[in-house]
Amino acid sequence: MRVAARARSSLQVSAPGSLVLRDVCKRYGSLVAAAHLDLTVKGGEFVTLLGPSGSGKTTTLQIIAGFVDATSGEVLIDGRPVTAPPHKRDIGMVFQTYALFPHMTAARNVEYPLMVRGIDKRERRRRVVEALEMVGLGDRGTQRPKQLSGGQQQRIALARALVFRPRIVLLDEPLGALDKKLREHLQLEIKRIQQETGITMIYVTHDQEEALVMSDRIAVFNRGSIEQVGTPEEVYESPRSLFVANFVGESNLFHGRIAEHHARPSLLTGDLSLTLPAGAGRGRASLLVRPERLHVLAAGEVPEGDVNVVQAVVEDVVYLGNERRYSLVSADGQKLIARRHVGEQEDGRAPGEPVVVWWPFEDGVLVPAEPEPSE
Amino acid sequence: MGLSARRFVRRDPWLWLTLPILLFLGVSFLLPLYEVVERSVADPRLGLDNFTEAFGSTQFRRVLVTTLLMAGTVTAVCALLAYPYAYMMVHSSGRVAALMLVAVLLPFWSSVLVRSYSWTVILQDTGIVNSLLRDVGLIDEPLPLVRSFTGATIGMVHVLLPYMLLPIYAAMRRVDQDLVKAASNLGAPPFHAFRHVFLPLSLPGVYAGCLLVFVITLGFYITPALLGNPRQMMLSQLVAQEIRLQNWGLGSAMALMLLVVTLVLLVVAARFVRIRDVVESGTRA
Amino acid sequence: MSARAQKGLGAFCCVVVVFLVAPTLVLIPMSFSSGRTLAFPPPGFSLQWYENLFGDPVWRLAGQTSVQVAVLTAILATALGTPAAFGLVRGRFRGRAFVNAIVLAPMIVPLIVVAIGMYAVFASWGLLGSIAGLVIGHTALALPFVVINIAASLQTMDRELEAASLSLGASPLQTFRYVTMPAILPGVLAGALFAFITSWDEVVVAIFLTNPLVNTLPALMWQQVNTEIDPTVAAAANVLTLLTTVLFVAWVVSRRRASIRSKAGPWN
Repeated sequence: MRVAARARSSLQVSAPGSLVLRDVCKRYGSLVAAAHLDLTVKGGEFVTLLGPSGSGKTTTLQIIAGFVDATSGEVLIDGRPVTAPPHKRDIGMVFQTYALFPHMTAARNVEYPLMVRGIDKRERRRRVVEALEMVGLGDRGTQRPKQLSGGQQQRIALARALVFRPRIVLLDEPLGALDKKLREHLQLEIKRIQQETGITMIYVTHDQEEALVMSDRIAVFNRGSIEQVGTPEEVYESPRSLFVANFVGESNLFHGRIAEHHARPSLLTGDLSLTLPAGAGRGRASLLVRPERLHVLAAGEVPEGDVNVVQAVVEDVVYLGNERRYSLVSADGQKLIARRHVGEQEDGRAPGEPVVVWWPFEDGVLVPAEPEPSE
Repeated sequence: MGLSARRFVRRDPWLWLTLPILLFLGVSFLLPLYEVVERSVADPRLGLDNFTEAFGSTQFRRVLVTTLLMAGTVTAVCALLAYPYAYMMVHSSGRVAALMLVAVLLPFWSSVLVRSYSWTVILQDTGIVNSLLRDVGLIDEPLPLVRSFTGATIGMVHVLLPYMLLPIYAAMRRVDQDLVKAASNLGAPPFHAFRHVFLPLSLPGVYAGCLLVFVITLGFYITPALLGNPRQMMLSQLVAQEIRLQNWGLGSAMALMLLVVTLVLLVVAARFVRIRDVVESGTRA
Repeated sequence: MSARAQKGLGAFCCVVVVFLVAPTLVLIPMSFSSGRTLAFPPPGFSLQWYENLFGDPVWRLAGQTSVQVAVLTAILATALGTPAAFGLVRGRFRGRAFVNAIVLAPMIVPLIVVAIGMYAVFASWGLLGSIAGLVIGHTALALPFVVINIAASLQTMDRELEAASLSLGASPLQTFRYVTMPAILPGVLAGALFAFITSWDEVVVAIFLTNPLVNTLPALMWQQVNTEIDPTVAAAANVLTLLTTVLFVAWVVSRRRASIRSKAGPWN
């Protein structure tokens, strides 16, 4: 799917919008949907609001779009607070159910925002053609939404949200209703269009893989609060809370106390004393090791170097084509997950076999423990 | 996904959109009802004289009995006809069932007046039924089918059959087919399974249909006036007669009684059916 | 079910179907009778009763009045019912159930009670024997159908379409015009159709609200049926039914065509 050069130039925004959420809260009676949200999105950025259902990410989107009023706090676009009703905010929006007008053709759907803005007919036609070509559906303008597939409908919805050159576009889980391959294809499509046009995009999803693939930065939501904002790498490699560690990617977590009477700080958990990476703190904490950082050796072998070692037994091995996923149980009874590429030295470990699990000290990440619930 | 939350804080503006219809119905519908109530207790004198006069009149009492009898008869006949028909619908293929449904709804295309009039043409002394029976030699003298209780019953059954059929059909469809199969698997012969499993579960629909038909029959005017025995009037005909004689107090009182009975039965029906629905889904669970 | 029981049941159902459908159809051949009465069998074919129906100024006038009243009823009922449906479906005010009950009440109350009440009230306002009176009375009876139909359309409509329209820059008024209205149009039309047919066929209230000068077709038929055996009534009955049938069939065909149009086209 190539992007027409002409389309690129005409739809590029001159001044992409920046967005700031300052201490935004939303309460429904005693139910807190969003609490003290602070977020800064630079112009031209692709930021994903990631979190499970009910975590407040859709509410946040609705507040930005103007369909829901925040209980307190400010929303600033390009430095100015927005108080206008939804139809005056000039923010594009793509819905999970596409929300294409069924009684209009695809072309008229895309034309709609231009028509209500009073743009003259010739200019409207021109921009509609450009928008349709940008999403690769230039020849489908005369068809009605019902005649198009799900992926095509979503692309029309995208074209419609972009055609009036908003500086910010909001996308509410737009790919949720599509099958995996189509979703992956469209993820790249959307990302590419965003980069070509330079529009600021705020994307909501519960799919952490999707967030990692598409985003410049990710804001991880949990129960109405933003727990961490960072690049995909920061969020994955250095999660700042247990929730983020668990939600983004698979994790092996050791919970315990930090002890300082060794040469290097260690985490005491069960019978194990695990050496922590440099710069650890104190008190209760958790050590995160991603599955791809764990190595699995046959029992009796001793790994070399600055590594943590844990004795374990293989529970299950799943062959995934390019890698193997090991489910293990440590001597302490803790469940561990390891992922190794096929063809490495771990080939051949079978269920029931005792093994040695090891990882370099620096491959572990210290995650601050959750504060004790104070009630 | 709601539109602006501001709406929830202010008084609901949607309320204002219902004002025109409320004003209109207030004047064109509620006011007439109020008139009836007022005249029943205030014309010619304030008090319940009209009601005592009505109950004192033998004609009224007779009409009341006729009305109840007619309602009961029509209800029974409708139930007897509708139940097997609905049963057949449930056990037919989708296409056939759809056709059967269309056949039931088709009569709605013509008005009650036209349908009742058609029956007078069919049932009259020189009509199809009598002519055919005479030609075949079954009778010598024409049967008095019009201007009779029978004629009125036939006419009303014709009009009200759909109102009985639809609730019964709906209830039957909700019966889990597997229950009857389970019964026969456990050893019950077909009629036994029907009588002790299917029938009880379909009864809520029957009750709903019966109440509906009974209530509607009580207030019927056109059909009994056209097809019924003039000496065996129904309540609505009596009301019309009194009004034509300008006996507003008496007529209104009777009309009010008809209205009250209708509303009471409907309220009872609403609660009845709902409870049965709960019980029904309970037995299924 | 045994095969024999099934056959018996099938035969029974056929009888019921004939019972339901035949009576109205019977009037059609009977109305072409060349005899002086509607005795069976009809002696011959003749158009005399239809000639009488369309020739007699009394019948013609009644027919015209019926059409006028039905059209005006449809318009008034739609005008009142549309905002009411919005208020009832979208609103969250206290007393919504109460308003709902009032709107549906004309369907529940026995017609004779409504009729004599209207007779009393309209008499004091001088509305007896007037088109206005008939329109008001019929509109009250037709309103429940209009509101139910439009409310159903509103409830099945995708609310997100309105949000999308707003997000694209359309004002609430533009949204109503370009998005909401087209979505509920089938419901509005169905309601208007129901209102027309309700008024066209209505007889009980009409009996009380008409006079010899301003008469409707059903009311005139009623008077004729009770005073003399004039087969013109049969012709009138057929005309009554014909219009209703034509409207109904046209409606069904238009709905079919709409859904076929939206389903056509290749999928990728």
